[in-house]
Amino acid sequence: MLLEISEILSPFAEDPAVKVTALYRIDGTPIFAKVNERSGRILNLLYWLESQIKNSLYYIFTKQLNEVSFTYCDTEIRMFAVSKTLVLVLVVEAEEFTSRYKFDMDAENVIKMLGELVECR
Amino acid sequence: MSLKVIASPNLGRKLVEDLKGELEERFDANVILLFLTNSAKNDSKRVVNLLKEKFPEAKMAGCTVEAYMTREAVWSRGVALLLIDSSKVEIAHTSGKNTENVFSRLNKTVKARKKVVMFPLVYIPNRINVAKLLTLDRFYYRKFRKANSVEEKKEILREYSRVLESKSIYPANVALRQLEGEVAGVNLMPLSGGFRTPSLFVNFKECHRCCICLGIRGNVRIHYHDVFPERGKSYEETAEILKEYFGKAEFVETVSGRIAIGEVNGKTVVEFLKERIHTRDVEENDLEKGSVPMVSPYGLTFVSKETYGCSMLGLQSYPVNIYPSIFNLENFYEKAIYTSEIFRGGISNFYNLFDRINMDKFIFFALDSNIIPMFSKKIHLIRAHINSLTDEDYLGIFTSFPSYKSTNIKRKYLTEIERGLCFNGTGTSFMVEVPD
Repeated sequence: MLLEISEILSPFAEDPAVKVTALYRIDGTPIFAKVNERSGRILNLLYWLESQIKNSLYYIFTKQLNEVSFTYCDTEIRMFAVSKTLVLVLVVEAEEFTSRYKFDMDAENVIKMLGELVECR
Repeated sequence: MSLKVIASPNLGRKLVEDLKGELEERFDANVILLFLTNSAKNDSKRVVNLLKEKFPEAKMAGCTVEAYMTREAVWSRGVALLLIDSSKVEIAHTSGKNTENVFSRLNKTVKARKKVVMFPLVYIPNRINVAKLLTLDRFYYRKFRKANSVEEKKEILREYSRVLESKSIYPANVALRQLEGEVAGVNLMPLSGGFRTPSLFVNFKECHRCCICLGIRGNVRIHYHDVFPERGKSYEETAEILKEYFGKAEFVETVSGRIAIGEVNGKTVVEFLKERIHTRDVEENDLEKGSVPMVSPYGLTFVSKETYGCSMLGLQSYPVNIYPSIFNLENFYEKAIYTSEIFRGGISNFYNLFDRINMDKFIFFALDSNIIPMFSKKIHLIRAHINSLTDEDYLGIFTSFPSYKSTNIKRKYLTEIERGLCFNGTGTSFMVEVPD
């Protein structure tokens, strides 16, 4: 299953513009993570993410949010609900306007594919 | 005609591996169409070399697109390939500085009556040529300001238009006018521009400012669609339709010549825009990053003297005095209408293109890329709609507002700006139904 997840996430995981691609369980346990930038800045963000993730996930599921995003200077953290137990986290450079719309469009593919994979299991 | 769609949203090594894997399956293609998204631009050489290695005898054409849609997904990353095995498709290409000349040569080369033409509507040249254009803009604007009469001003704008055409713009209506038969236009203008964009590919080589024509013989059907209501029978009627559609419309007086606008209400276009909206100035640095915004929800709508149809020209705060147009303005009223863009009915308006879909035919279509910033992930609804209509494979590309030419247009399209020629700065799409 991990192989299938990594295959589905590869368009983001292999993209150097996406700094972190991760799939978290609702309890905050990462199932898949690919870090494309090894820097103190990203490390700090990951620490922060770990401490915040349970809280954010609680809001995603209990308040029925589809997505949560945080922006730090020029870095954006996007969290998308994939299923009732999984959240996709993508850390990207906050880019110019059209890229963001395209990014959302692409993320929808991945969310749908992951959702189908989890459902059929 | 047998066709096969291959697509991969990956980048770099993984992209090439994916394509190699897909191409393993035997398929004798003699025509290959490559649609490369901007994110995969750095991989273009590797992809083209792979295709050349696999199909050395095939004819190849392609261009950069904003995104592509297949039965499975809509991606703005990676590449999509359309492999065609047919003797009914021909490819020709030309290049040059004069639009009439380039497209009439293309017309003579392609014998088929149904054509799909790909060309850079706006080409952003390299740094030196951009600097030259900006200097020439100042030079001609100084001449424009000193002119004593409106006619003299127009003559200066026409002169500057020739410079713009030779370096950067193929006006859509001038281009299509030269082509005979039924023509669908893939007019390339990226959503975000950078130096030397967009790119085209022909016979396994990348070229920047060339025009490619696909001639298709046989029982091919081309459908065109725009999202707007039908046009009026006079300037006033069309203006009233626009007012009703866009909600807010302001009448303005323009001074223009061919593809250059010198004044709107006595000011430069950018000054006029800045008085109405708060907008960030486009800087040279944006060109370097490849992030110059090429679309805008604000625009001037020009009404055609010939058909009373209209076309919109998006406005951005570019560092220019004379504002370039993407279509020839000679046959339009000088009294234009300043509007801000909305699509009434939302994304479902784009569904109508597929109403005439034939269940058992392969379709290739081009949608206006403006819908990406407008609807973002809702674009998947279009895919779901097409999937509910057909079980066949299909390929769609997102490119700047496709155009259309035919002698047999039945509907009174608002975007029909010349008899039998449809073009608008937003909201248009076409579909090609390919026979078996």
